[in-house]
Parts: sequence; structure tokens; C-alpha cells
Amino acid sequence: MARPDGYRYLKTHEWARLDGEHCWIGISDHAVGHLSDLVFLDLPECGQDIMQNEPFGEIESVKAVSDLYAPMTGEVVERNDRLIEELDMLKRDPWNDAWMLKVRMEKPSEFENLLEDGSYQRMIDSEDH
Amino acid sequence: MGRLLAYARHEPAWNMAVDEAVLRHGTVPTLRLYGWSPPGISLGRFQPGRMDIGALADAGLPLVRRMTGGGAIVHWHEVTYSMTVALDDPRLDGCDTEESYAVIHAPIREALQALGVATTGRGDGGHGRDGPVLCFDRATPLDLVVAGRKLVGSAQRRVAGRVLQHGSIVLSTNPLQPGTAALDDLLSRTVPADEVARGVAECFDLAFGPLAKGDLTPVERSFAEKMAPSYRFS
Repeated sequence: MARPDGYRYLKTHEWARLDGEHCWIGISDHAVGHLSDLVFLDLPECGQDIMQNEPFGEIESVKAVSDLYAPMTGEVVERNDRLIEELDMLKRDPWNDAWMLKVRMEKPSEFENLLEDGSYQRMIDSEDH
Repeated sequence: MGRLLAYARHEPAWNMAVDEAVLRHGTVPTLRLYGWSPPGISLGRFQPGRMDIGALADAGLPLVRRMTGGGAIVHWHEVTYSMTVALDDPRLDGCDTEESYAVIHAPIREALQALGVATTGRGDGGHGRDGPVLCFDRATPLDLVVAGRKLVGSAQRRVAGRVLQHGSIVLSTNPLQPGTAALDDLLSRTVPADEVARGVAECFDLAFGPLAKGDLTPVERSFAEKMAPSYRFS
């Protein structure tokens, strides 16, 4: 299935979508597909700073805890507490309702460092070959 | 060439800090085998805390937090293994999480088979967020069991490009964790930790090796020393 336009990715499968001076952050359909039976999501509080390529949270499935890496640097201004309570939202729609953080970007140009959809898909294909 | 951090017993917080150090700063496939002295109780990464484990908290054993998920484990008469490897390692290439468990469990199953214990994957069942407090009372399809009782409980932590899987191989039961299978019972003799550790190391050497006996790097040791206090529960 095609991914929506406007999203860019880290190699570790987190996405960012620009929204004025802010960006939205989540994880891709590919990442969700590899996380069976989600159990717990730990996200930073509003007001915390996150930094590109550094861990910002953790997600636990039944048999693995995985770090989540920040695709952009900035201050967390919103956190999706509903997602923390309803992790199955990730399975239904990782692009919209299941966003994790809204961040006030410190360095918008970092978006250019992220993978475009085509490059991201090629990376996935090479991982799953 | 991989690395073997040979069996040794350490205090609980150091054990957990070293596993994280190897995961975050190791560069080669590393098998680590260890015991717990003194015995301790580890809580899963997101278990609520002391109140969650009821009477276990009164046992007087040191409490630590694991970086992996799942339930609490009483680490007493056991051999603990941790295998850390890159996700693009040829032996894990293309594996999903379940398959990676099977690949890392395979040498453990072979080592147990050589001792005379046949394990199977549980294959079904599973507890989510509200499972029992103890890891060995929880069921997942990936457990290694004997006659339905868990003998090896394992969990994974994944950071960018690397995975650590660690778990407990139970030597003998203890009253704080009564529901487990145990090698002593299954083999009707006292099975020394050294014997199990040696067998596991040999099987991992064939599966992930060769593994050269080594030590922590200065970077790993420094990281573990810094992190150990954070693993202790007050």
C-alpha cells in the first residue's frame, strides 16, 4: 500500500510530517508490522526537548522493548495520550490518529536529512530481501 | 569473530548495566553468561514497581529494573545468558522478532538437548499488559518449555541496528518462583551452573562463532559503571 505524501523517515522507521513551525512524529506501517501485540508506550512529557537521531521514547511489544528515535530536534508541545491508552490505533492508522508527538522544531532544515518515501522503501526492501 | 564473556557471578545491578553496555557500545556478536550473587529480583522495563510484586518485595532480595519487558524474575539458581548481535548479521538477516528468538534460542535448545532435556516452543498462548506478575507464570508462544512449564524465559531489547536477547535457564526451583521447570528436577541430579554455561557457550560458538573469550572494552566498562546505580530500586 502506498504511503501518504509529505512524510519522511529515519532508518529506524520513525516518521516526521511538517506543519508550519511544528512537526508531527510517529512510526511507520513497516515498524508497526514488526511489533506484534503492543503492550506499552513511553513518551516524553510536554516541554521536554528531543534531538534528531537520539532516543525519545520506548515501545514494548510482548517480546521486545524497542527504542524510538527522534526524526527532528525540538520541544515537545503535544503528546498523544490517547495512543498510550489505545495502542491498537497504531495498527489501524499509523499516519494520522496514531501520531506520537507534536514538536516545535528547532532546526527545520533537518527534514532534508530524512529519507523520502522511495529511499525508505528501498531500505525496507533491502532489509527484508 | 564474536566474543564470549565467560560465566561469572555478579551483583544484580552490575549484571543489568553490563547487558546495556554491551548492547549500546559493543561492536561484535557477544554471548555473555552470568549468575547472580547475591540473588535478586528483576522487574520488567514497564512493571509498575515494588507494589506490583506483592510478597516478593518482602523477600529481602535486591530489586533491579531490566531494560527488557515482561514480568518479574527471581534470579537465584539459574544461568543467565545474553546474546547481542547486529540486526543485519547474516544469521538474523530478514528475521522478524519471532524468528530472531528462534535463531537465538536454537543453541540453547541444543545445549539443553545435549544435557538430556528436550524443550519445545510453547507455540500458543500469550499475556499482554495485564499478565501475571512473574515472568515464569506468563505464557508467550516463544517460551522454551518442558511439559508445559517454562524452563527458559527470554526477552529482547532493540536499539538502532542491534538486538540483545537475554534470559534465565533455571537450574533449580525456589519457593519464590514455584511454577518453573528446573534442570535439577528434570535430570534428577544437581546440575552445576558451570556445566550448563559450558554447554551453552559451545553451542553458541557453532551457531554465532567463532567466539573468542574476551572482556568488556573500556567504553563498555565505563558505561556500565555509570549506569549500574540507575538499575537499583530503592
